[in-house]
Amino acid sequence: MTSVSIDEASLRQSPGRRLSTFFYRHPRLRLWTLLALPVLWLGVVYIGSLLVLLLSAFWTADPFTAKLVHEFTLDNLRRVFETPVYRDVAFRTIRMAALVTLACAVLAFPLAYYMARIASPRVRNLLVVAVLMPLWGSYLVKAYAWRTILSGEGAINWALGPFGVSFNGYSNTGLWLVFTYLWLPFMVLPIYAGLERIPQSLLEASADLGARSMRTFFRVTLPLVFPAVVAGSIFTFSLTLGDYIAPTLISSDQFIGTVIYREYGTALPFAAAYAMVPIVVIVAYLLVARKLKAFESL
Amino acid sequence: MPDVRVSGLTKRYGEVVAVDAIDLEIAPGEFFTMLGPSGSGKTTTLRMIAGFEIPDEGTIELAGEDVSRLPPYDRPVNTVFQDYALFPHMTVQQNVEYGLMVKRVPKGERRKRAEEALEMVRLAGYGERKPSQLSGGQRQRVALARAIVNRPRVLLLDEPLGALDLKLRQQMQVELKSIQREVGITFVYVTHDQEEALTMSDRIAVFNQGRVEQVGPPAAVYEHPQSEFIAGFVGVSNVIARDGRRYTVRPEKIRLVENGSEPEPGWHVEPGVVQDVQYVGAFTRYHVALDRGGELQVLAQNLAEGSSQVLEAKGRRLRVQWRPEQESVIDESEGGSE
Repeated sequence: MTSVSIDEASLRQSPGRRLSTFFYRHPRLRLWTLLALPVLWLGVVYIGSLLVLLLSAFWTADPFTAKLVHEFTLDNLRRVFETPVYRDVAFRTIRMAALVTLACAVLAFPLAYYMARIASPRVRNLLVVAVLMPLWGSYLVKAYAWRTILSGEGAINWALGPFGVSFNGYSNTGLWLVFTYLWLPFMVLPIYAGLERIPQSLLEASADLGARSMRTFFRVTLPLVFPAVVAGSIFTFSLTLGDYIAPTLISSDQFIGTVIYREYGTALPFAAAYAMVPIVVIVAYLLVARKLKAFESL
Repeated sequence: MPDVRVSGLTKRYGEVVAVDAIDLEIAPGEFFTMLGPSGSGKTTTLRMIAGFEIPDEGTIELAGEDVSRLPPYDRPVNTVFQDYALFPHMTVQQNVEYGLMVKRVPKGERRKRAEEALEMVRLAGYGERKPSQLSGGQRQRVALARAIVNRPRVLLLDEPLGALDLKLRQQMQVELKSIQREVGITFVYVTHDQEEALTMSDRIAVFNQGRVEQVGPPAAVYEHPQSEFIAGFVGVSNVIARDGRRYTVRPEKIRLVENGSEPEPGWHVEPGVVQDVQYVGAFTRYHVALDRGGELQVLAQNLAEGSSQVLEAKGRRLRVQWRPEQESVIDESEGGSE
């Protein structure tokens, strides 16, 4: 009886109100209405396309028409693992990703530390904007700008000229600089947030218990902010691992991204097989990062 | 020689004077409480003694040595923080050993002393846990053990019981006091809770607006407040002006008597009307408006009366009386005479 009277009451209300009452009474339906679109996107478009990519690694392409032949084969994977060139490219890319991550961490830490613990609120806000600003610019514009900076007549060589030194910018060293520039904000922000989260009283307690600044840093600050560094490194590492534009523009060497890019037009199955390499590396990296509690810092 | 001597201590934040030329002397082994409302300068004073803030003027001496400009790590004091400030990435044992590790005490002795300290705060066997696995009261004890294990000359406590609920707080008050007696360390204790200050302290300094208004043993501060602020902050103010004097009488010292009854010889007697009655279980609080001006709070034990009886008193005319020696003069010069 009561439910009937409630329904009568709700009939008198506006349609919008009736709808919200309906959803209020059916929380499960409400949840699915909310999540339908993102689940579809993640499930079909995102995961689905990845699965198709992985699946195609076990197919072959017709060498003349470049059309896919749906026949199961392990040839592509075998080629990835047994050809020395592709192994070298993979290791070169991983090494580059590691060096870029290291450089970003070394540059980001003091900056983030200054922002979080020393700078006045005004300077801090300015720096946050300054760190974020490059992200507003187009990736391509920045990459081409660096191509100009690194060229034989570019800014770097112009500055080094008076010392009689010249720098070959179109090299892996140049690429390392470009990557470090491109991904630095992704390292600064998590470290900054991580440092902000450390209560001032912990640092005071350490000093109170007799520790000088250096010891407080190594015993308290660094261990507490380390997960945030790992969180930042997920970005710098994975972004470097998958990039193909900067290597194409700056370096003459092959990287994982450039190999996939080159192969996928003519030999999609092989490109797909090679794409498994960075996926496996990243999954392994994420597992280690989870062990180091990095996800609690994101 | 006092353990702590503070002279002319001043701290400003821009235009605001947080601590205004304070002088204090704290004896060795004393349980000294700095009591006051928030913003009264008590915590800032404590933080200056600890070394987290550098005074603008004045000096701080610890056992005769001027430490005003020394960093926290060079001062023979340790602090128990309001939020405990336990290191979340270390176990309880590592937290307690931290100060000893910094001072390069050998591992075996470190372990032994940390275990003793944990035993003292009744947390033996909790060494391997992380602070996040402990309750608020247990964290508080770890913070205490972590400070005491260093055997500081002076222990500074910044509202250490503020985050605990009433029952736990009362229990910890007793424990803190007995630990203090056991270790014999000078305690400098900051609180805004007057009851806490009265029950635990050897002496209390009452802070107001960056100044110390009164220093003395709990009974003296409570029974003979030297200012209206103290009368109101430590208890209820109960200030009235009579014959050119302003004074306060503590509410439990006042008796309510029926209008016709014979007054006690030598007592101060005045007629009034009961404005309000609050039944608080063990006792009842009466608000009495006096005919000669002013209002007094009166506390009476509910020895035989029930709540319905005491509540009937509202609106009744009666008399209040107290012994003249219970009057505590606040100001001789001011106050109108009636």
